[in-house]
Amino acid sequence: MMNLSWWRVGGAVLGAIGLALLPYVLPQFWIFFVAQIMVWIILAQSFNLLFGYTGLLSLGQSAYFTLGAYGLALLLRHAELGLPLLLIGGVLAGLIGAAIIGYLAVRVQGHGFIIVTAVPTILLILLGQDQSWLTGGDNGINLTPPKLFGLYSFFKPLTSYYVVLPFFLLMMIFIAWLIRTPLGRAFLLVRENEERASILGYNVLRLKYIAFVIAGGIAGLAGALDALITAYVVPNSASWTISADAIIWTLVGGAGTLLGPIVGTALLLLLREFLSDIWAYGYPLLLGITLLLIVRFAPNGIIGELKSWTSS
Amino acid sequence: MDQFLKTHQLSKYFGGVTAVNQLDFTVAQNEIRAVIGPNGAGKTTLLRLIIGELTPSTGEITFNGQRIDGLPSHKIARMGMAKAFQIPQIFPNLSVYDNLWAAAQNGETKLWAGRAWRKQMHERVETVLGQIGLIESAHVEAGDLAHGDQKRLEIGLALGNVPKLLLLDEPTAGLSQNETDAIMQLIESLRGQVTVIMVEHDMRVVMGLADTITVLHFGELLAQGTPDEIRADPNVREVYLSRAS
Repeated sequence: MMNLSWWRVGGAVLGAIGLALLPYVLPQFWIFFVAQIMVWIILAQSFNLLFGYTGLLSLGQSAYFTLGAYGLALLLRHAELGLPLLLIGGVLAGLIGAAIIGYLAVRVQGHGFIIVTAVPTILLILLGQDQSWLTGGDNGINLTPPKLFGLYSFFKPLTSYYVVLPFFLLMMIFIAWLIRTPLGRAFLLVRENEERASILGYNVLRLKYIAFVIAGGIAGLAGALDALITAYVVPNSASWTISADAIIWTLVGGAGTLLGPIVGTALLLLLREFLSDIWAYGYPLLLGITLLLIVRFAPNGIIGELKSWTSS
Repeated sequence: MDQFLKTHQLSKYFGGVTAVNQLDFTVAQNEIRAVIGPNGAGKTTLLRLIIGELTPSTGEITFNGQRIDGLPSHKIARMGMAKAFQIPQIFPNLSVYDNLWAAAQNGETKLWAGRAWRKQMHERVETVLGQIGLIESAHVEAGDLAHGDQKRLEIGLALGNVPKLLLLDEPTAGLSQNETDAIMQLIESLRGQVTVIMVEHDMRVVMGLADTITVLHFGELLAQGTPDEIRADPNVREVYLSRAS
């Protein structure tokens, strides 16, 4: 299973080098856009770890994303912390939120799980709107991130890009590593057959909880990075529709594969961007058609289908 | 150990139905025990109670000297017990190899897998692949296997963590004569190494393998003895053998 063959490692290294060099050939606007795509891919991977690898359909990843964003924003506002601590604060906010919600959610089976994960997204928005002294309410908070090394402003796309890139790569390596550990293999067993996993000695509840908390931390990192590069946080980012975006990107690309969320997120965001100026209704229409086609003809997503072609 | 597995006054009620009724049941270490009885006798329920899929309504279960009733099944499994289900419960989208790896890993969820550990896992998987005769299919997705092969894999999953006590729920149900023979040989090859409790309807399998046969009827012990004793027992003939033929 999932052996690290030379061409995979080689492909990943080439991809990383390509991403590192990309700003040299891209105009300013696109540099920022690619940085944003990388942030959204991290969010999609958070969902992918839960659904693709552990079989848990969560509608709640936007909640931990928003907690991560506010974790960074509030630390930035009320404490003079350096960039690493700000980001760690964001990840911790996501982890802690998921540790609390997950404790309840993993004890609920099937459709109930989806609802228990969705409710906090609504609560967070209401709470955020109500406590506007802390959260800025509907207007959110504009941030002034500290300059990187005291030199590079986050209002320059290049700074955003080169801050996001290493975290993006680290996250992809982290997930690639995680799913190959005995723990990660056990996640797959929960997805495949809970009853069997349990009779083979696996504590299914504990595995679900661990996956949920880790995914919360990953979503928190995405939120913190987003807050940093957009210099803006708002409670509405907890909306379940943000989770749904991440779900759609993952499913189109291929859940349960590392490459799937990368390809799906990049493709659909590029599509949205190209269509936004020329055809206002184009994106939702084409997205709907794409989804139908994927569900009907390629239920494993783009990467999932490619994989089964190449293996047979 | 004469009382490797022991139940004391074990009962299980489902609503008003009594599936297992105050059962005292003892299995010695390394014996092969068959549990037979007409449909609804409580055989499958007994296996599910032993491995903790069901919690007893009353009574005690002792395994290898330890009380296990009320423990979750993943804890009981890690104490050295495994079960093959009647209907294969496999990991359909994983290869046969990865299925058996999951069994060999035996509930382990650490973050670091050293070379020695992985080698040990690999060797266990290879051993079981040989035992169940699926070496050729090691890299086939388990969901794509034919029914007979899924049944073998099911038993392989139960063997993968090298259990001390193996529960088999109708290991030959739905298999052809040849496939049944292969499973019989496999169980025979385990004799003396593993304690086996087997629920089975095929009398050829039961009579050919069991050291001792336990006959259940309405959740109670009707008779117990060697295959010859059970064959001659008039009560057993009355409720079971006559109907089965």
